[in-house]
Amino acid sequence: MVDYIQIAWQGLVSGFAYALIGLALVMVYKTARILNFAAGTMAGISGFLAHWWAAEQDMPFGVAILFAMIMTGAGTYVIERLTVRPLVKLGDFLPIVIMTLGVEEFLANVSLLWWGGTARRYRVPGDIDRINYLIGDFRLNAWHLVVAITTFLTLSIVGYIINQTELGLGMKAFAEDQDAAKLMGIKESTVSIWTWVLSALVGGVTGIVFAPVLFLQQDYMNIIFIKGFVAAILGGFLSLSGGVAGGLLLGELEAFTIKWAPREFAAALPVVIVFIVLLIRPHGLFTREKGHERV
Amino acid sequence: MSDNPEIQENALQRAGIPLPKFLKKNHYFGFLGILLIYLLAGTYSQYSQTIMNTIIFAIIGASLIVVFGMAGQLTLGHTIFVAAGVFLSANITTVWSRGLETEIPIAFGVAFLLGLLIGFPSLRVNELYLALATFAVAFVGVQVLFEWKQFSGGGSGKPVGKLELFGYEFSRGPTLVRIALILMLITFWIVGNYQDGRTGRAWNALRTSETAARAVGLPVAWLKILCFAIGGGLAAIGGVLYAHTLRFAIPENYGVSLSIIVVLALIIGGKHRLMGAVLGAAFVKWLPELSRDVQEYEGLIYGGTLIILTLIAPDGLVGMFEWVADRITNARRSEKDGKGDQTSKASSVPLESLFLAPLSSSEPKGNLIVSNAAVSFGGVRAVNGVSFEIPAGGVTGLIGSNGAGKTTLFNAITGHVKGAEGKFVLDGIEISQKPIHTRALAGVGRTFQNLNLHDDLNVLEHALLGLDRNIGYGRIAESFRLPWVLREERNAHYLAAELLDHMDLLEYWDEKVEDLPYGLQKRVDVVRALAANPSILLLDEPAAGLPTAEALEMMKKVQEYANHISAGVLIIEHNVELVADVSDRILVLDAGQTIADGTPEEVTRNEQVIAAYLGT
Amino acid sequence: MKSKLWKLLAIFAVLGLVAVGCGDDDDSSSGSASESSSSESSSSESSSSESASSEAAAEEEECELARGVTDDKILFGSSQPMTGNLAALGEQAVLAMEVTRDRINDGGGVNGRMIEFIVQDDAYNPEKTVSNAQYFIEQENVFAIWASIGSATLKAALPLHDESNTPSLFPWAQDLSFYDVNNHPLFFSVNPPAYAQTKGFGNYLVDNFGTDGIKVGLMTINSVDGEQTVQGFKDSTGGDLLTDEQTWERDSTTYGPQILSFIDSGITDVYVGTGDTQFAQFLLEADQLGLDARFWGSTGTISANTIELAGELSEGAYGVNVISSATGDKPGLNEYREAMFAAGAEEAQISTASLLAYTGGLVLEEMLTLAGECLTVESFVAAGESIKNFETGGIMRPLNFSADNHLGNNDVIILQVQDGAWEELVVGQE
Repeated sequence: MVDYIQIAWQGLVSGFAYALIGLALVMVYKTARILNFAAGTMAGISGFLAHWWAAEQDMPFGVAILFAMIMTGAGTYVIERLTVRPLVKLGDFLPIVIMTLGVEEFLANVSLLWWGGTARRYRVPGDIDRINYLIGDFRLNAWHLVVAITTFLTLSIVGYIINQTELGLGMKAFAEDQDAAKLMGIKESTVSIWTWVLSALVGGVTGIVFAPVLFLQQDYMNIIFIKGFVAAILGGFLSLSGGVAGGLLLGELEAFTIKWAPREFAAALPVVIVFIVLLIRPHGLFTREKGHERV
Repeated sequence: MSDNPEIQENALQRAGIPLPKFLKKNHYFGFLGILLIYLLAGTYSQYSQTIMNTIIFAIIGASLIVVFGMAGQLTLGHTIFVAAGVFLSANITTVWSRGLETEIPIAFGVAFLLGLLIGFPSLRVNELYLALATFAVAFVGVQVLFEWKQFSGGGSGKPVGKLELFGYEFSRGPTLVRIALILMLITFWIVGNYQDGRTGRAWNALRTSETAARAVGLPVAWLKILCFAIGGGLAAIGGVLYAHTLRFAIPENYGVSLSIIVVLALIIGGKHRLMGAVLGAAFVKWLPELSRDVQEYEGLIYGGTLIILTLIAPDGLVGMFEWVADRITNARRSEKDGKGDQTSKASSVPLESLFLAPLSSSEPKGNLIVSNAAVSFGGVRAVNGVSFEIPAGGVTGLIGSNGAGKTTLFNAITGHVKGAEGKFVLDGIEISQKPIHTRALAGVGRTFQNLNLHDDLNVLEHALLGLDRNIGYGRIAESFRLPWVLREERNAHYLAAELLDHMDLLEYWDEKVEDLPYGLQKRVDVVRALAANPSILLLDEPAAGLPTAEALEMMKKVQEYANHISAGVLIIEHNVELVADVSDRILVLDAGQTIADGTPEEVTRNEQVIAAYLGT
Repeated sequence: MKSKLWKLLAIFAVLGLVAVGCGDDDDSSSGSASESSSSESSSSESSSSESASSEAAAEEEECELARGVTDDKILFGSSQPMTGNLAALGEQAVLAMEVTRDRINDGGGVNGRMIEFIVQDDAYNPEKTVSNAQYFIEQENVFAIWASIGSATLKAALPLHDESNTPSLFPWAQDLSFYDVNNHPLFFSVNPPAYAQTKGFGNYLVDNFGTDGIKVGLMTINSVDGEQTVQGFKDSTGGDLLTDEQTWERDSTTYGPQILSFIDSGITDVYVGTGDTQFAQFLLEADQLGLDARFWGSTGTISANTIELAGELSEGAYGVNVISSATGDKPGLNEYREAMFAAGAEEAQISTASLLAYTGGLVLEEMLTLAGECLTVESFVAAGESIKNFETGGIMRPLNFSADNHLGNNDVIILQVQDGAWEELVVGQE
């Protein structure tokens, strides 16, 4: 029994990462119909920045994170204005995807030139990432607990912003109907940029809390990004809670299949299961299918 | 001049529409690209590796034009076909000790079959989901390679044998480049042939509007699967070359990242053109080559160039060049237009003399029996037990207030709505429960209330799409542009031109439909339906948004043509005057049920109708 | 008007094709000729090795220097993963190469010639490695390819090296097929195959811990070296001890599932064939999940960074290496570290990756010196094969090469992390 709980917990911890990145992706896609391929790399850079402020500029842990988040937000603001904004008026999906791929390549190389390829340890106060509590046979890592709490807090804050603030209402309006939202006098460019920033901050939090787990190395968020993408699609890509649920589900799916499936199929099985799910429910698990073909 | 039948020109010549030729503009562009590479290969043999990679990526790019550029299926699983080619090549050369003459057909064949399989998800899902579904396929594909050790050598990989053709061994280097160029030429030729043939047209149509493509009778499901099969087969040829360039095949090389790069390359180049495949491949292969001296910053340069390029050429490099070329030719054309006169066409020419004879018919068609048609959305019964019969060859009007269920009834007849009950019989053939395109092929033609046209395609192509079922050549013949393909294409062009002429669209034949005014777009929609030679034509508010005079004029044309092909017409229209004017008979729908059925006079006097509809 | 233009272009295109086609014909015949001559020369090398000195004397009068060699310069090429998730290894190797170059050049070069090298990134992608190889050989005209990293990548590029008569020197690549002198007469290495390392590990394990109750779990990369790693262990222990076999992918983010499987199988010893970052992460997760076993890391895990990243958790972990620990205390190692730090290395870059490249550099210098004024591929190979009992200041045991053995070193060294540093336990041979 403890065995199951342990596996479920491990899956959940991976799932938190997928869920947060999934959320960040869905947010931008839902309001602006843009798929941000640079999300993983941007999240990774946030992690590096937090480390850099703390370890190389001798900032206290919390202040370093704050600085890193500010830089992430400001950087995203500039990136959105310079690269994505000029393409939005074309109304075409593909150039923006290619643009985000270009941004990804560019940022990844900036990061490599700045910090080099050697992996670094992201130190947390009291080295609590090395503390394990034993509850019966169940082993609980202290940092994993922090990850869980942070995920919960982030989701709550995002939930609050979307439901209670003007930005959130604007995002919702755009997600529902772009033209109607424009008619209502909501400025598309304002909503879009703050959605980007919010999405980057969610990614940044993910990058920072997972840095002690994965070590700070180049590309360390890329696989998380791909899994987050899968999670978002599993959740329907148009539902924020769906993206989160998809992430958690994917984490569990991985933990359990890799544990019990034959070694040969273990790596591919989660993706195969998602694939089959999509064949049965083409619009994801958490969004309703449209009733009939629009004519 | 055209009103004198004796010296009458055909419409095609009058409008200056070029006839399909063996080679077209696209080909020349493709050949130019190949020539460029050939020159580079000869002059700079020290770059042969990069040149090889460029050729391979151009071939893969061309194969992606089929899947993505034409059919619009965003795939991240293309790498699996490349991998199939690579590993088949490794096995054939080492285990069987056979050369290219065996490798290429087998690689093509196997990848073709694989494509048939992989195409299936595309029937269920679209856009992002298809990207993920194909991503999953690629992901699983690599795992299969890792585990299928006999075939792939597992993680350790497999060496590739000698480069041979019919037992003659060739050295790699310049000879391999030459072989690759020949294969590239063949691939480009085949893809170019599709672009100018019915299959390419059909792919373009389903990309831009699947609904309309079905309505015109195109087998959309099969076309989608076919694009994966053909694209896959051609990509595998690239894979064979890749194997011989790398000489060593390992599974981890063929992951999703390769898929992303080939898609990226094609988009950068321009996804609708063969030259785009070449330019895209050149971009991803030569930028790193040229930045070797500043190796450390290669990634920065690459990313930066990508950003700048996307900003200045969001439609790809080819798109940018075409935009520039358009600017130049437009400037020239507007000078000419100033003095040129628009030749107006006399509309009194009888249809028989308009070269449209092949489509004419003297036997009235379009006897449609609808019994107990019913459609519900959720709890609402939009159509609630409607029964009527339309006699062959007549014009019937269908009126009713908004929400009366008119369009839903249309959709039930054409199959565009799921779960419609009731029985539909057209000319004695039951069409209920059949897929949309089968109903269309059985003779149901339709237009759309919200104009379901194919953006990006010109007016002539819309007419040709409608004519698709009357074009008699197979897809294999099309691949190699055999003589009868050209003959059939030319015939279709003649017919299309005449039809456009009849509907007064001839002068706009090469305009993209999205650039036309609304009234003309409506006509294009009608032309597409008419060209399909339907037995019964369902027109959904053809006059909406048009001035009455223009609408009447158009309806007259439609009626003339319908008479010519002896088709029946069922027309939804709010403009009662118009309907009364053109119809032999009028059906009135209200709240999903027929409340009146009779001649225009009868119906307009019917009190129930006046109360429910006309009165308000 | 327009169609005429197209026709004109087409005619030009066809003419161009014909013209270039004719020109190309000559190209290919000369290409194949040079190819055949190169294969002849390579076959003659193995026979010439014994009489190297006499031949060198005969050639003294008119010496045709090898490609990439001038009177004052020797040029090398190196294909490295400078981007992607192996970038750290590439950076370390390049640093060690720079140290070697500066040491040689500051001492006046070899036989009056300075050493230079060009690095190109391959991101561990074989396609790029092959392109890089062609760039080195045909455009930069390098003498040899030096210290490249990667088995899969080298497998793709090696045929090109061999055909163009280009030596492949001291790569960090461990596939068994490379060491066959008949197939690859220009391949020199100080790095025994992955197969030999696990064989050495198996022998040490049985010698020191017996076989009673020993259950071994192997964790290998799902790539070129992985299967040979497993085979080496099976060949040394008969395969009975091998209880659980797991693989990891280059892009894995967690080893949790594999560790849980090891716990289930009651493993006493885990051998992890991986790099330092991954090994540290493995130790971290093993601790989180409670895997109580002895941990054995492969060559790539032995670096200062493993200890830096894993901290306390690395204490007691074993390492199976082909070379002394980079952090050890021996004259050669001290010199290496001094030079590395002087060149700006970080603590984390003191690793097997950089030490192997550095040691290869020592042998390279000796080979170039022995080859003499007249540096040709033949004289170079002969010089290499003549090296006996070459001292590296304790980094490796004295190295020996011969005409049928281009692998100078077949040490398997067992290390353990004690008090935050890698300590040597046993120096053995496979």
